[in-house]
Amino acid sequence: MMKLLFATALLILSSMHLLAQELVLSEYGPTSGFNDHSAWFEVQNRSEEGINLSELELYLNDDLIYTGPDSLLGVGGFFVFHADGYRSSRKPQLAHRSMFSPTRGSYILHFNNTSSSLKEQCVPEGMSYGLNENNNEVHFRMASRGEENGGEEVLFLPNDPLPSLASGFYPNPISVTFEQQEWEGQKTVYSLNGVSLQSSNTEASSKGISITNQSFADLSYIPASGEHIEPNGNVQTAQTIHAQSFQYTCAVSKVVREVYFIGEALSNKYKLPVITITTEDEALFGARGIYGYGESGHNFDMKGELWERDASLHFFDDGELKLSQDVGLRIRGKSSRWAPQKSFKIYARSVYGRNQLPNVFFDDEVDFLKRINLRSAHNDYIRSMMTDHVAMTSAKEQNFDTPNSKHAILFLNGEFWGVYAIQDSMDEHYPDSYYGVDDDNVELVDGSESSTLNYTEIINYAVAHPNMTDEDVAWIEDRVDLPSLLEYHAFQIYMANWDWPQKNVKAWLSEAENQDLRYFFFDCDACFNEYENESLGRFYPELNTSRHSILLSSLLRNEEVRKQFSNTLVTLLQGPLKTSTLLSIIDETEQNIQPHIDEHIARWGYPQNRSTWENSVESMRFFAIKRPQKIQDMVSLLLGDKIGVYPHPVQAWSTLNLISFGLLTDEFSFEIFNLSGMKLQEGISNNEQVPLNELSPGNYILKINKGGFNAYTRFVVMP
Amino acid sequence: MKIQLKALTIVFLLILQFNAFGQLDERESMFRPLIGGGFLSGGSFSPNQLNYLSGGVVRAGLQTTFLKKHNAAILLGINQFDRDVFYPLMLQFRWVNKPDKALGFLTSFGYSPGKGEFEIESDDYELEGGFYLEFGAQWKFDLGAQWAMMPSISVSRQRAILEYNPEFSSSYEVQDDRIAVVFAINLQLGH
Repeated sequence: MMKLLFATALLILSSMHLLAQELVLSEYGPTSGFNDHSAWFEVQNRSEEGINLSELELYLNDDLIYTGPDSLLGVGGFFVFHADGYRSSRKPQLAHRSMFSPTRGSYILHFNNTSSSLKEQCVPEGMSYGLNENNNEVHFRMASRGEENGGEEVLFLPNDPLPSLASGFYPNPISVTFEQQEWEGQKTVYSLNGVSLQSSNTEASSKGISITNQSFADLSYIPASGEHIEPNGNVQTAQTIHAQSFQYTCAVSKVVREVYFIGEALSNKYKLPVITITTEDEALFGARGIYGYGESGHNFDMKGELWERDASLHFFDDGELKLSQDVGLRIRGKSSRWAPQKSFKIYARSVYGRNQLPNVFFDDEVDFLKRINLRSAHNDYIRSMMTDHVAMTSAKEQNFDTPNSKHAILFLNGEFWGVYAIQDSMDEHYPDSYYGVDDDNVELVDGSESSTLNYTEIINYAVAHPNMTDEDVAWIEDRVDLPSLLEYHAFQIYMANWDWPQKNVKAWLSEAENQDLRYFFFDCDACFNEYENESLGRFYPELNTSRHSILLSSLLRNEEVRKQFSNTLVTLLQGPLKTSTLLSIIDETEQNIQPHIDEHIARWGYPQNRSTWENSVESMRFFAIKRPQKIQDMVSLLLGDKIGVYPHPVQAWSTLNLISFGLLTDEFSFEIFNLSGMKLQEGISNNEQVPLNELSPGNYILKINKGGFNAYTRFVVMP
Repeated sequence: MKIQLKALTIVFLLILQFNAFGQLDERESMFRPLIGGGFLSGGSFSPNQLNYLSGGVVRAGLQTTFLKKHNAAILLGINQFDRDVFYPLMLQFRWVNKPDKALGFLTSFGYSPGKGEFEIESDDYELEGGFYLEFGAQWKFDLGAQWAMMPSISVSRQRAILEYNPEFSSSYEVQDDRIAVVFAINLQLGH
């Protein structure tokens, strides 16, 4: 197919500017009849003396593919050469013949220390592209290799095909036509099966294209993960149509992609909003496709702009089309890239038409978004699939930055792709959308990568001042939004997120626009798992855990901050984290997903069955009911009403470490009793440690006394 | 906890009194007082959740012999899981292969009321107990003429329901069962 393309059209370059002041790329075109993927180039000497061509070079994707001959080109003379080195008027030196390929790329012509990048241009077979007598770049109907350009010019007119019916839900089969201007050599071609369009595809006639939704899913059966499970039963499909205008063999429009849901039953089937992403199948599962294994064996794990594909996004709410826009599409996430159901990131860019997405997704005052995520429930995909959404929804009104979250059904290239959560993308564009802070002024702190200088300075200060005085806290407050920091950490601690803070830490600040450090709250798939989780323990100064825990850890050594943090926890328990509040969010989310869970399970094989899903939702409720008690224990610990111990259970003849946030660093007395009240050990110690004598396995009470302060805690000695 | 210990002490003293009033002087007394304690380590199990909990056990009751070699007992206990407490009233059976062997198979079942009430703001949370089952192994070592020491290791299962009563909406119940390994040492008065 690719050979055919290059036999009929040359898809490269233009920029007929002077290569140097004297040598001009005057004409070029596709070669036919000799080599399917060869292009010829004509340069003209417009100087007043002969030019040695030995410094003429052609590069493709940074590879030298042609070097000019060591000979003179006379005044006004033409020189024609071929990209693959054959049939030039002089025998060329071929540097890397094997590197030339029909793949489109970046061509650079180089002559006499001057380089000129050649932009992509399509030239049908038999025609050429070059400079006319007014030095304008035009297509010529007939090539004039090695001669003065002249002849008839052909105008290529951009012409996007306009469908007679917009994407949407239709109760009955429909007929779609494409409106197009009458123009020399132009036609609109289409495909109903997601192939990349060529001029040889079926031409859309004025009679219309019948859309009956007889399509079958095939992408759903292509493994893109070691955990792939074939769909159970038929996968629901919508009919996609790809259309594009061609003039002769050259595309003169973007690919227009529409999605049609046909049938009365489909109109009312989906209670959640429906989002469709449509691109060419090749862009997802081809050799360079972003979803499948592809040529690398793990294409889905590839990142960066080379792994972005253009796609069309349609968003339907209550069956109505709310948005239709061309966007950039990438796979997002880390380990979720290896899961069968992957997450996507959607980019609005000018190159696709618009650099903003109208906010039709969220009930928010923000009018436009630059990026959105389509999140699969990665760490939660075998359970409730809704922990992250519930966490984000409960945190939305808090004093830290949380994405909006809304569940939707995704159709990828017309195939049911399951339940996803549409969310704001928490990146450098978020402060622009929500705070008006210019993207370029945002310093993003990413958990895994090297951080900004300002963030590093803050962390280094916390490391250097593990026991923060009021002055140290004031220094931090000058750089960090402290109430926001405390609220963010309190929320995460409540959620018992086991995938944090060693991962999933992101924050931002803007020195240029005087914005202190604020955290992004995101990725809470690993939340709601263990109500007894000692998540505050990750910030015990005594344990000094990950780099991202150091800041709060050092701050908690300060009594005022500890009180403030305790108040924050208590306030959250009375508000957004109140059991009844969380239960109502869980109930609502369950009701939203419940009508679609069977179809989702049939598509992916996860969760195991409906009962597993229901039990997982119940487990979230259990967490919401039980967790507050544990949080109250943590508050007692923070306020010094209680002393924490670790490791726990402990071995006899070892050391029991105390968690007192610095209170018991100096000398204190202790007593150990058994449950019948018999004193077994007493002594003086310091440095938050109690050395244990020989204690038989069992339960014991530790009493701490320091000045007027008394605290008790129970501990277990293991055999 | 202190009140609970006091209650158990009173129960134990009553048992002693009952025994003293009855057949303490007789070596082949029908009911023998039994008291013990230890600790448990386990967790709270609910759908998709495992939460580690630990605590103590205390129990007291009367034991008798049946079919010449096996023992049966009625026991009242306290099982504490961190902040939650259950009070199992149970029948316990100790099965032995031969009367002179120390090792016996232990099985207990009964019912435990629970106590784990707490309040946050105006909402309250109340723990209700349920069926209690325990099985494991118990060894019996004579300590002179009057006493026997009986260490045991067993696995216990406690059914429980947590009731959440919010201030402004209807109450909600979730299953809050516990499973634990119980390490205990019992003392028996009389053989």
